Amino acid sequence: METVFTNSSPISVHLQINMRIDFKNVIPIPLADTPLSPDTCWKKETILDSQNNYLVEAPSGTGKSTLINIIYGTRPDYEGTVLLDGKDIKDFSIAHWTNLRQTFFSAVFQELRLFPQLTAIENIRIKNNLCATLKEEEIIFMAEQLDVAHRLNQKCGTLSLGQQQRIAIIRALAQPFKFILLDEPFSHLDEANSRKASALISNACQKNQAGLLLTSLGPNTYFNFTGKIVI
Amino acid sequence: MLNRLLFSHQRPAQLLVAIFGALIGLLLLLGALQLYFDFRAVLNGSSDLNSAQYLVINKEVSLINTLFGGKNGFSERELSELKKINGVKNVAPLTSSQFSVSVSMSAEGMQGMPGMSTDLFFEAVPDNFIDVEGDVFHWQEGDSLVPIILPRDYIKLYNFGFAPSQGLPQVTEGIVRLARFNINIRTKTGTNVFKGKLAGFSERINTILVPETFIDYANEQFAAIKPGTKTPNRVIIECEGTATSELVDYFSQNGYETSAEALRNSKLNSFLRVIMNVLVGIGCVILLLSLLGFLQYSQLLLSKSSYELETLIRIGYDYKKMGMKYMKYYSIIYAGIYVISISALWIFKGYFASYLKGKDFDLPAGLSSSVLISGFCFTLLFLVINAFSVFSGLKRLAK
Repeated sequence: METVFTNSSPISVHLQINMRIDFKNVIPIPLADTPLSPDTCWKKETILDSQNNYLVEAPSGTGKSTLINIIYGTRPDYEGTVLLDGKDIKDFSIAHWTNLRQTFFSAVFQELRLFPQLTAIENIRIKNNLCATLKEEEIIFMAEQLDVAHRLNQKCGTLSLGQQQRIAIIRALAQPFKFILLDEPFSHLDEANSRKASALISNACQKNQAGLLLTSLGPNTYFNFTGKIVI
Repeated sequence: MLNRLLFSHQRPAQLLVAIFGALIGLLLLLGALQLYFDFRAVLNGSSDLNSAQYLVINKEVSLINTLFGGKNGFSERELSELKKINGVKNVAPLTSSQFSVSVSMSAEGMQGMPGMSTDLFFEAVPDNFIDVEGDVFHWQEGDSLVPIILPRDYIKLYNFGFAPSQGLPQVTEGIVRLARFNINIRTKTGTNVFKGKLAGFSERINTILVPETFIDYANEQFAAIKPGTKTPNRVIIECEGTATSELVDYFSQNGYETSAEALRNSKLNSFLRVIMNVLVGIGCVILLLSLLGFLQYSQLLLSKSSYELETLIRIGYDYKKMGMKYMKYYSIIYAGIYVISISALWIFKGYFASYLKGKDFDLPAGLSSSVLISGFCFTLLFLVINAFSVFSGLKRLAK
């Protein structure tokens, strides 16, 4: 996985990285006809690597979630090529994506994608059972940190959006990863909870030596962003 | 937990309808198959209930034949044509006596019977066509007694038709068997007398039979006709079971006649076949519909659960593993359908067999292995088709 390359991108500054995503002339098909800002990441050579934290700050409707979904392999409707460690992600098999999502990419989706019929802790366990990453005490510890421990046995469908968001964040940490994709993860959280959640995420990233990509409508000061993506 | 997500949008009522349909369909289809295997013995004539059928045929007697004495015999070619027909096991000519013969019974011949004499004719068939039990129907030159076989109907004709009108006593088969009579063969040079006795009664061949050896001997001796030189007027056919429709058609095409009664079985036979085909057809249609029901149900479950499935795939679950969970579930249902329909069939068969036993009809016990195997194959086929549908549906979600 060690790759040495000369960085030609304005974003990445590290020479030695563990994992690298190349965007080559990528443009989502729905955005193909809209005017792009001069320093956009679309239709250019953009490189993400797992040793940086990236902030994608843009108003809604500009393609933040699309960017995340393209990286996560759930949106094939784009032009150009996305390479993961030099390999076109469009060539990846379903099994390969399954493997990547268990060990490589983690994500907090904007729409959270929890199971309303399961309890909060079951929602976390269903991921943790698959990846066997967290101990039960660790789950409870995280839930306590985020102030949702008393809600763990409640059906997810009955939780507030903010509580659900915290459950989704814990679920995203219940797996090993090299890159975590956070799509407006704090949109329903107050500042105190956002800070606590950020601390947990940063911790996990450190432990996994992983990179991070966070989309946000406004500025975000909880992470030490080393890269910024304009779309 | 995973199962709760995969099956959280179950619709039990729809599933029950599909299961019920599959049960009925499989039951009908396997029932028809079982019926087929049970009655195949009957239909193809290998059971003792309806052993090989014997037909005696002759050519239609037309006015032209009567007036101008046209030939009515069967040629060698016609005999060999008959042998080639599907379902025909054996064909043999009926050899008829070419001499004039009368049978007479003296008053001493039988206690209480008046003396009588009647002109007769004899016919003979090869020994393997004879249905009289016991080793009594033989004759060779020098034997004093000539055994005779009468149609069983003759004794009834006598007992219920002739005897009452003539004020004669009725007789039993046993009494008639005791009678000894003279067979008088008249030639230009005189009358030759043989002793005759009744060897038995036949239901198979409606004629007066003597051993073929006797006919051949007498024809040569008294009518100067060598054996096999005269074309036979009647032919006996041994069928492998009841007469096939092919054979019946062949008869009517060539103007051959046989007793309509004899062909009734073959009509019953084809009727049974039609019923079985109808059963198989209905079973197939219902089974097909229930298969569609299952496919629709599994697709519905997938589409109702598409949020759960998509999310599971997004968080790294293998769609194949989820498919296996579904298929495990459907396998249990299919196995249940198989077991229930087989046991229901077994119970039905038991009732049916005991009902038929009261009618002196022995069905082979239990279900045939072919039925078990074909039921299993149908179930497996269902499972494979369903698995294909489930996995392709899941794969679509995973892409």
